[in-house]
Amino acid sequence: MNFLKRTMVALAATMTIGAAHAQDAANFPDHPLRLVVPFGAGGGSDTLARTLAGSASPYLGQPISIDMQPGASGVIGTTEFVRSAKPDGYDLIITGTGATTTIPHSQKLTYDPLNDFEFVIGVVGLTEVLAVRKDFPAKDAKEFIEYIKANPGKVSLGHSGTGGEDWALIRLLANATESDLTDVPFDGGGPAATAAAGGHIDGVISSLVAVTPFMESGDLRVLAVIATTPSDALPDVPTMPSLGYKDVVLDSRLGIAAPKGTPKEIVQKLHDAFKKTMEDPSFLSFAKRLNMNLQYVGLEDYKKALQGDFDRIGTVYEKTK
Amino acid sequence: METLSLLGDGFIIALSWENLVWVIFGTIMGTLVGALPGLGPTAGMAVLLPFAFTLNPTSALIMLGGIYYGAMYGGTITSVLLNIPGESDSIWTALEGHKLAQKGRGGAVLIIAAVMSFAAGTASLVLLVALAPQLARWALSFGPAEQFGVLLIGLAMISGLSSKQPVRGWMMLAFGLGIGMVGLDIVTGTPRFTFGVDRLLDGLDFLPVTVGMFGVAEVLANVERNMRVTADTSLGFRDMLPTREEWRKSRFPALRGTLIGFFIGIIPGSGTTMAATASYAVEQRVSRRPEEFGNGAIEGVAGPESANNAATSGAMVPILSLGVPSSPATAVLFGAMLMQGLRPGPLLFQTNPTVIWGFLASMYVGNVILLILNTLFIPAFTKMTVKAVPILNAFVLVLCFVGVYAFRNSLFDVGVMLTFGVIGYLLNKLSYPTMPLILGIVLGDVAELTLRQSLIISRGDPMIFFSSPIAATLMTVAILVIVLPFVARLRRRFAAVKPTPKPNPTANQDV
Repeated sequence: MNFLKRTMVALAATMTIGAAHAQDAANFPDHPLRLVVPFGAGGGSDTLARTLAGSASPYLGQPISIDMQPGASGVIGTTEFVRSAKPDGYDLIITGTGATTTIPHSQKLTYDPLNDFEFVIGVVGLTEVLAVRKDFPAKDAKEFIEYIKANPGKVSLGHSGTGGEDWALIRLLANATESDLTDVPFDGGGPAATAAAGGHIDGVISSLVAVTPFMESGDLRVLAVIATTPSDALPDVPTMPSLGYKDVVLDSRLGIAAPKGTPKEIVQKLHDAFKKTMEDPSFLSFAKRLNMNLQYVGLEDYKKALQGDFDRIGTVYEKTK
Repeated sequence: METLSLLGDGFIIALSWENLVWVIFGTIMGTLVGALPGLGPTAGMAVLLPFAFTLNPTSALIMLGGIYYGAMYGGTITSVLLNIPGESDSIWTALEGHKLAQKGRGGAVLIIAAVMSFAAGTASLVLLVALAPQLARWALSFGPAEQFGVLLIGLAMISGLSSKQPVRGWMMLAFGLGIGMVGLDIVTGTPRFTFGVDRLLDGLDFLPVTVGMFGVAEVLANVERNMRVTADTSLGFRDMLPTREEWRKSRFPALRGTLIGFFIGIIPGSGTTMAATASYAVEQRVSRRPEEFGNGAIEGVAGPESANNAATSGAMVPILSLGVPSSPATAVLFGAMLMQGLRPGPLLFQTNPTVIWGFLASMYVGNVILLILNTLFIPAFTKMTVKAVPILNAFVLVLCFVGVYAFRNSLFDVGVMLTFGVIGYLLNKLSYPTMPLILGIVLGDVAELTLRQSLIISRGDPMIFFSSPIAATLMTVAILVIVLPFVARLRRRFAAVKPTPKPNPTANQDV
């Protein structure tokens, strides 16, 4: 009797746990999610996160709150995320930034950029551009390169943080053109573009998203697209490879990741919801208005793509040394 | 004239039943998130952002805007009554307002704060409507060197003036800057002062440190005072109304605070804390009774409260006319506009006039609603703080623990809070001013970043701080603020040999 009773209790307990577990995935999500943005307000990754989070809630059935943790090119937010986020699908982070692909090459970090995460979805290939203040002496990219060669150390370019992608591109440009550029760190691409628009620095290498408002107001001029393929939004602007600098290129992708160990069904559910969001007409129209370069890549393929970026930038760092 | 008729149309939109509901909802939510430490307008707006997406663009902006400026009022209540500043821009209100609340003037302080915030909010909206397009260009002229100048003035004023002995203020500032440096270097990403402790990589945040130094330190001091209720416990509604004298003292600080707050709000990277700080420093400087500051000066509430409200309007200038958010909270608003298909920027006023003017008009309406709400609840709140001090101590401690833990679910933060509670208690006992320390933490990293940006741009040449007229003026003022208190002390020391005439105590009454 006693044995039977104990068995029954144990059995009931097991069933409850099992049922609860299955229900976790089935009911997911039953409360709001949190998306960490490891960058300052107004930059490319911030704008993407806000737009995506807003459009995704109908597909997830829950709102997503944005948690801004800016600083040190995304390292602060990412470090904190890996340290504290729970692998239950409710904690997500914007990834595919310098904190994933660039900084690990130059700094000792407390996280593994590719293996501490479950990669959910790649959303945007950020278009990196070179833009200068409106009264800068050079008219186009060719003149700009001649100018920086003739004026070593005189030209200052802003970027979103030392060790990040924008910074790496400035160093690459300096190397490729054999010139001396002064790079100035800011707390994200937005503040850097603002300083350039005010004429406090000569220009920026930043995401197109951060530059767009000032391009429209006429305070900044975009001289070159720093990607292999031209941007749909800027058909007349040359790419760096087309100018003869094939090494000054970064095809970075922004997306969403969950902590390592998040259940597969939940990652799949998140992926499906965000993929539907990417096909949502209202999201598409935002993306277009923001000049976002949508590039869907899912799950394992996303991880492979990031690995590719990571390796390419790794060789880039070798060259920079 | 055209502006006026557009604003009139805006009021018709803002006063429709539907939008009225959203403005009331937004302001109440804002008051709540502002009152809870650990939750701020940014979090409140971000949480409701997806919900706002389901509303029409005008209602969505009206509701989110209500949270934004409603939070400014909410922060005031906990600062004055419980000495817990929920937001860094409430620290001055806590410093002065709580001293007054202990004397039984809590109701009066809250009413003054609400009325002056309302006046400042309204006046700065007029400035916003009238000047937004012109001021947008002015905001762009503030680069790293100019921003550093503004921050240096703020830090110098508070450090040099917040104590009878400027050296103590400067020591506390240095302490605060040191604490602010814990974590990753903002320029190179290298860890500093972390001693190999991973938790310290994130730095010591403002919130646990401040809640410790204000809330916890206050409870410790109360316990020492034997929890005696010193104030008159038979407070009628009449006793909660501000006296004529208190109104008179608050008028000009509020006016100055509005102007200071609005213009500082426009500058990229400064924000409401800098606005409140500058206002407080100015009030202390121009006051004929500077010794009252730190012991409950109503001017020290009226000025900063007006300034942080005016700064929220000022911060709308770059976002509405340039499309550049100047703070995390305005960045959320910016995101909301994008989601609603609005493109913030130079053309916004032309392309979507009904939404924008409706939104601006709703800010007036929201301020009226906040004034009514606050006045209704103030008597209850005030009675609570005066009559139930022992219970309140426990309540404050619970609120401190919950708020700091909820901030980022970290027990480490709670430990930081308790440590700084003890430090704050000791510093108060030894009469070291705690404000420079707090400001060192809040403003230190921005000051450091702008300083280093400037020197990188100039390749190490310090003359960059005098290279533009704005920067040169700001630096000159900063240097004067640093040097003058020391000069004044030297002069007093020389003058002390001769007998000095006593100041006439009646001279203050005919202001």
